[in-house]
Amino acid sequence: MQLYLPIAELSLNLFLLIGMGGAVGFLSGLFGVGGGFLLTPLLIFSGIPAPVAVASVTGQVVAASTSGALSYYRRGGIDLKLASFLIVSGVLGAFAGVWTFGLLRAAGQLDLTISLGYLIFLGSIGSLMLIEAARTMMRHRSGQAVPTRLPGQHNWVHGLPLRVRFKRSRLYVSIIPVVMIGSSIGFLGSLLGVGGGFILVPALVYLLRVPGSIVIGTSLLQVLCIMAATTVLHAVNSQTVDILLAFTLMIGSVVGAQFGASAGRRLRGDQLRALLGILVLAVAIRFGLSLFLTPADPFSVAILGRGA
Amino acid sequence: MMVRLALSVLALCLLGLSAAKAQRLVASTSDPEVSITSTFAGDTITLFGTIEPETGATEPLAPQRYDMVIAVRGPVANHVVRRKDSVFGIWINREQQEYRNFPNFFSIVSSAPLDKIADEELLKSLYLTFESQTELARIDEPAAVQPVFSENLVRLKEQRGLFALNEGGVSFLSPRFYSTRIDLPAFAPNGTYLAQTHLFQNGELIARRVDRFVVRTAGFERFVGDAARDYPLVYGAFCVLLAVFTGWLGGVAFKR
Repeated sequence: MQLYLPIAELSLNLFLLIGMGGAVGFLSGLFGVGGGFLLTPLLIFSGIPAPVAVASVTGQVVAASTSGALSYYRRGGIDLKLASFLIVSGVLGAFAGVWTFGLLRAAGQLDLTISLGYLIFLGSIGSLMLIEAARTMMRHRSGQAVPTRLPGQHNWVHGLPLRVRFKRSRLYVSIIPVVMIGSSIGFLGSLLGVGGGFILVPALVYLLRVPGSIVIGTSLLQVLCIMAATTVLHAVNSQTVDILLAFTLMIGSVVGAQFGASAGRRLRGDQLRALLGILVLAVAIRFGLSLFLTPADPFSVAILGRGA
Repeated sequence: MMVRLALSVLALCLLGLSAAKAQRLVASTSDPEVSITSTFAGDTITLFGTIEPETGATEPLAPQRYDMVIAVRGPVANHVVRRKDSVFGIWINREQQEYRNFPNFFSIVSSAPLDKIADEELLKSLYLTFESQTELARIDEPAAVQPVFSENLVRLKEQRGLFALNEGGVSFLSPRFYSTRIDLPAFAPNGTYLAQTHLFQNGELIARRVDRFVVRTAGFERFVGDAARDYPLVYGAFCVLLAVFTGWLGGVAFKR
């Protein structure tokens, strides 16, 4: 059944869209990530214009993080003070991101920026994940105890000024790294159509030493709020949010995530991370190919405005 | 552009009159409004009409051979053609050319191969070729345009089905009654379409008329498109509410 997407201005198969949402939802439930970094590329590769794909996936990420954020909130797994610092700085970053998005789109360099952004971020994060997971696996195999890094250990970040106490996370840190992390996630998320949980969680754990019981919930709440703000900003600034596209993806991913989460319980953490690393690297390589291989058609036509 | 077009239309009308050809066209369309709905996979619109003697003429028309070319021009939009070049191994959009007010949809149907109806110069001056459409567009420095950009603009529009040529698509059901079907692709742009009917005889234009019809996305899709454009803030906020509700519902339904 063909579904006409009014903003993307093309027809796509409804079941293909729900299927993509479901597959990405499954993976996001499996790995505990939002899935935007997989869904946006999938949409772009299936022919949806990059600006529409990015802006509509932000709506989908809101849906994907809502139920998780709610359940963590009920369990008290969110540091609201830390989250509010991250959210305010993240919204500012999203403003900058959406503004940059508009400029790049008019200049014809948005697709290039998205491809480069995915190549660089997914490439480096995928490699790090894979290396880390491989090390853990090797230690696991050789029978050594796996050392876990303890939160509460201090690093250079804890020496910065403007310190604020975050009671729930038992932290007393400078707001400079908090604001930096929050705003860069907001900027990247709005530009690339990703929630940014896969960058935010390691940043909170390794840079700020946020305890493991708090980090997921707090990051989910931040992603939820930033993506909600980004959806509105994209709708106002570039009018590229396709609500039908976003809704079909939401339905698929919300259902898929449930199956993914139960499948995830049967795999070991390092195996999961290795798989996720491979997946992330594969997407990065796919973008790399589109940048470096001679394009089938060097010419493209874009429509800028309705004319007069 | 409109002025240029209007002037050429006027000039042709005068030409037609001075040549004292006593024909006029009476025409209609099957649908004055074509609606794009959710399962829209393209549509066709039928144009039909008759060739009548000029009003006031007493002599009935003698049966003659006519040729017809109908150009359907959709709404205009600002197009930009970009060319990728390799910079340090990375393919980047480098050069570009803007064509403002370029038709987003253009279709030619004719009763015979175009080169058998009239010579190329006449067709060009009537804007009845793909290439001449770029001349209708507003361009900053027309002299500096590389032809390769215009060629590729036309090629890409053809590839998407937004520029189409159907030689033989106009059929005469009787010597003076004609009919044709224009295919509109699924992504035909919304707006007013002009169907310009040109009647030729022995390689000369003897009559022409313009009809208009409207293409619009109908029902829910139109509502969504309009809302996104006219009330972007409300639209964006609604998207967020819908997302939060869907996510919450999913969480409740599956008891995560």
